[in-house]
Amino acid sequence: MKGLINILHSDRSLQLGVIIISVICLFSILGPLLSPYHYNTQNLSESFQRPSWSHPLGTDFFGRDLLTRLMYGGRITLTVAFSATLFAVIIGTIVGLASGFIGGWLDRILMRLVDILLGFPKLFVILLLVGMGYTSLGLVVTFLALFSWMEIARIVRSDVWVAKEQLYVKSAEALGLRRRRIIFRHILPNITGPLIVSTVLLISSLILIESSLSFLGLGVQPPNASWGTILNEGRVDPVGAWWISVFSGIIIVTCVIGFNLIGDGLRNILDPKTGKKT
Amino acid sequence: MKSLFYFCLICAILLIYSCDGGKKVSRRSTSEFNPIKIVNGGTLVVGIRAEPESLNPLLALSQTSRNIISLVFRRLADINEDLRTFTPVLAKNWTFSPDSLSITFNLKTDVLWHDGMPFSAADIVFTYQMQTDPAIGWDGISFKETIRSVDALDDSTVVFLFHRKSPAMLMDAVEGYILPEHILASVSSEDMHKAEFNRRPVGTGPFKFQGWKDQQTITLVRNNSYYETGKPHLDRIIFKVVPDNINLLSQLKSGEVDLVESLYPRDFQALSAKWEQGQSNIRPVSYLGRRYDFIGWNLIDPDHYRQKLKQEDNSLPIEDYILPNRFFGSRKVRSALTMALDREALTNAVNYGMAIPMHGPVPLILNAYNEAANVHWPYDPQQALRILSEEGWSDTDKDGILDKDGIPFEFELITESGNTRWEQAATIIQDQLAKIGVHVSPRLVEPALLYGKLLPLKEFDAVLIGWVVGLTMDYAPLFHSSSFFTPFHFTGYYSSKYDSLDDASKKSFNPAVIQKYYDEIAGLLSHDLPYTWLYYRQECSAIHVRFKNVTIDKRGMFINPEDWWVPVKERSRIDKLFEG
Amino acid sequence: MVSYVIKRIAESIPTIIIGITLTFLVIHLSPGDPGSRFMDPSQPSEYREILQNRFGLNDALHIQYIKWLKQVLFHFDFGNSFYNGKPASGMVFSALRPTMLLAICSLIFALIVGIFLGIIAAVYRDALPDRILTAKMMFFFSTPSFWLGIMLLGIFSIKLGWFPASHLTSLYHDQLNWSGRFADYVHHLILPVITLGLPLSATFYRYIRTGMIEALESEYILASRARGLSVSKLLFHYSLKNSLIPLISVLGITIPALLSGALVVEVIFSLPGLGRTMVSAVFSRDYPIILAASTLAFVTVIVGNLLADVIYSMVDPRIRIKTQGVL
Repeated sequence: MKGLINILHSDRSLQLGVIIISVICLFSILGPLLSPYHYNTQNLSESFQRPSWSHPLGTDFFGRDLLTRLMYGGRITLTVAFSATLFAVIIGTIVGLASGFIGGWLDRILMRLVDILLGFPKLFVILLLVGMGYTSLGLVVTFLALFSWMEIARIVRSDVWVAKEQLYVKSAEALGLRRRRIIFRHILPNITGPLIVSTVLLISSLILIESSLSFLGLGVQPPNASWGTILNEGRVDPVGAWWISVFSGIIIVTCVIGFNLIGDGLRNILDPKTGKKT
Repeated sequence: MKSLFYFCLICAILLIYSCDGGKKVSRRSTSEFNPIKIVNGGTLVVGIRAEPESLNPLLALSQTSRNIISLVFRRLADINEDLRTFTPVLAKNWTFSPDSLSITFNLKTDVLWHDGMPFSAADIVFTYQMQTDPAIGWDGISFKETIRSVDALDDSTVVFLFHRKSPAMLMDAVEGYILPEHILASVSSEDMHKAEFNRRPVGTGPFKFQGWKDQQTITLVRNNSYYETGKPHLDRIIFKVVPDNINLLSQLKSGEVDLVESLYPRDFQALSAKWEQGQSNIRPVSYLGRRYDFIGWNLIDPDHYRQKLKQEDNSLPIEDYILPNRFFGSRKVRSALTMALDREALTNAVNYGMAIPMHGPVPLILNAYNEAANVHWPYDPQQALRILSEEGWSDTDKDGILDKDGIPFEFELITESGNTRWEQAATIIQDQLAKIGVHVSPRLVEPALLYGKLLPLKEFDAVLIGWVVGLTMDYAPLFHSSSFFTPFHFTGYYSSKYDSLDDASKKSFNPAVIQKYYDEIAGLLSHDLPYTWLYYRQECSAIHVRFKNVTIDKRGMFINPEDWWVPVKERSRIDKLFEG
Repeated sequence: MVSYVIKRIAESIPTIIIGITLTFLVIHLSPGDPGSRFMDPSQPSEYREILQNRFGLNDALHIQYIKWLKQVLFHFDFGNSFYNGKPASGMVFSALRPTMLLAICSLIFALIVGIFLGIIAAVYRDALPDRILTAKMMFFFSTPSFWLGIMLLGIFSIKLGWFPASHLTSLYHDQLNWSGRFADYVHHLILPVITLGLPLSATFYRYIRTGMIEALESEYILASRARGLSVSKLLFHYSLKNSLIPLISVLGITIPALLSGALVVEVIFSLPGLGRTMVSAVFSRDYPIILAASTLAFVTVIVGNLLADVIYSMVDPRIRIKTQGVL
């Protein structure tokens, strides 16, 4: 615990990022409980109200309170981003470990696959996949994960290569330790640092892709909404009902900034040489 | 430091957004013009949301394509505003034979195609052959079902022979634009959909095709050899593709676009308010449109239906396919759901007042429309709850949702994704039905899946979509048992009473008798409620005030484009740029 | 070098083939019927069959695939659009031009902004200009282009009316003279280029700033400084050159991102490009167009990567060309 606080104190951007993300998480998790409105209570007589004391961020077409909607939207956006990242990290780690540790033909095939997938313009492909079937949250998560594990795999693989060359793994092998044990005891802890950095950065890029998809009208089903969906609803009239697109955009940007700051900060701490000081 | 910067940035954005520029525009008088003063010249820019799919009248489906085609091509005759009588166009006149089984058209002889070739009776015969060719799939093919043959007696006389007498004979004969035989005769019907003609049409209309820039513009120019001498007056009409609504609207306001056929009602109301205060040069025009939206209930059990379909035994009677849907199989449940909907509020909310609540099947635009014939289900949630409890639906487990035999009243209301109005309507319906304890999950489905799979296989609970209305009333594809297995008969409605009324209405020749049948059909359907009709839409158009002599009514935007003109004094920058 | 390029091209062919095969499978296996949009209740139901035939969807999947692949490989024929019957390859190529224009202009814009600001930040390291720039660039780096686009569109073209809100050219473009046409392009492209270029410039900025700081601190620069070489020469001749090299390697991976970004920007600013063609083709299930557009997107990405690698090895011959992509 004390170590954690020390880490937090050692880097300003990490500090700022953690604060931003904590606030947004609290906002999304606790906010709806405190709000006097329900995210889906319609009041057609209050359609498109400007920000006021009773509705600090205004209302949308159905007269729903935008602030409450953004809180709920945060839940969905963050859930999608977190779970897609989780799956991507799992896939990426497994592929990277297999590729790095087993090597040989498996390595060549897997890295070829990584190259191929990295060459795809992501949004094109995900747009195609999501646009072709039933749009559902689970599907969005699956496709996001399937197209974002590659960078993780590369990082894990190259770290495994480095670690494998290191003495202690060699000696462990010489001692006749089983491969699986070597992986989990010695290599995995060694590569968690870079892994955490790219995981955090992946979250922020997935938030952006999910928002782009929702913005194009693919994703969450009404009356639920992610931040991107709310932004898309604001597109009907970005000047007359400016508060919808402005506020939903601000929260997306803030959240992405938060994750990027954390990623930067962690990189500075874990890998001071290549990290960029701010 | 960082946070200060973001704060300033956000403040700047908010400031620029919230300051409201209320400028007053001086509007030139819209007073009547003197027909002698009409001058030629001027450019009309029409804003369209999507590129037309084809400029071939046989293949066009979207309203945009039809609009452009209506400027390039001509029919034999055009329908008048009463939707009963016709004005000759390519035909000079026509006569019915004594037995009323054929019509003879005398054609105009001074009409030229845009490429200079003369128009003749052979084109009419050719067009009929193309229209009825099943491989081409013209969407108006049902108009031609009553026609036995079309023959050219000479270059300027054509005879249409009919199978039987009907009040719609003339409409059936003149429906569809006339195509040039000398260009299309060499195209096989299988290759029609990729013919060069679809992108460079040649017609006989007041404007001829000039160019098409992909995803950007389509330009038409004046046809100087139009058969009505001295017309048209405009130099050119440019169709400009602007997919994004807010872009389209801002271009209309700034004068980059002169005409938009279909505005969002919210934008239309804002424009109307400005127009009435004299602050705008854009004249809003609204008229009875061609669209209505409804909820279609699935009356039968989808799983049972699919099982029966798999048996591939075509000899089964229709009754065998029908197992009443656990929710909507009962007419009383449908009526209760209808009464739980505040149609008035829904209509006004999603259409900003630019629609009329609809209670029965007959479109308001048709002469057959008779509101008194419909059964009305008033908004009455209490009564709805009573009916539902009579039907066995009540909240026994106190979870806020009605249930019956352990099944909660929960269903999906599917609608087409990308249609804001329907998404909004579905969300409001979800809210309204939640108030009587019916749990609705709106679900947006892309069109190919909706119309290509879910509806044809009856794999749905309830659907919210709309139809575009033609000028004849025919409900057989939607409700008649003869079309039970076709894609658009998705409700599974089966009523021998409806069948007999529909058949009888088609056999009669007496308008009064036919109207009686139509009224009975309206009464029956609005009582049985395979659909719950929601509202009939009013079209919201707008055109710049400098265009004079413009007629816009329920027949559409381009009724008399050859008569439109622009006074020299009022020419815009774009008008002048093209002249210079 | 030539053999290397040939090898790279040969290696990328399987990537393209796997990519389009997957695309083919996805669209053909997805539920629904692309012909349904051409049907309406007044048509006889047999029309469905006719449409299926016309679109070539009646055969078994593998036969459809082989037929399609044959046409593509031997005749470069991607079929005709379901929607408007035009040849798909032609439609997609005409859509590629605006996308390339947008992408290249944005790339140049991003490079100029990124490099220029990166140098300033490195020179004034940890001082006020550096802090402001780094914070600002963090903002642009995290801003989704669609939001930036909507804001710019809302403020500068709808509210203030300074820039056109759609299209690549004015209606009267053809009436203008040479300089007028150029100005017309610039006027239409400014907002989209900023929208697409700003987030990208943030990426470049970070690389340049880091590279410059490293270079400025490196021993030979310090030594040259001590020997009295001019600061500007040091900055531009030695440091910048060194810090540009990692940037070139980044160019390769920005190309897919650039295409994805262009997709959104084209939708917002109604530009007639590849992205918008793809979006409308997906929504209308226009299979030939989807396939042609994705193929072209794959090819563009691969060619872009190849170019970046070639430039990379030309700028810095010491670096041995790796067969794998960068990062």
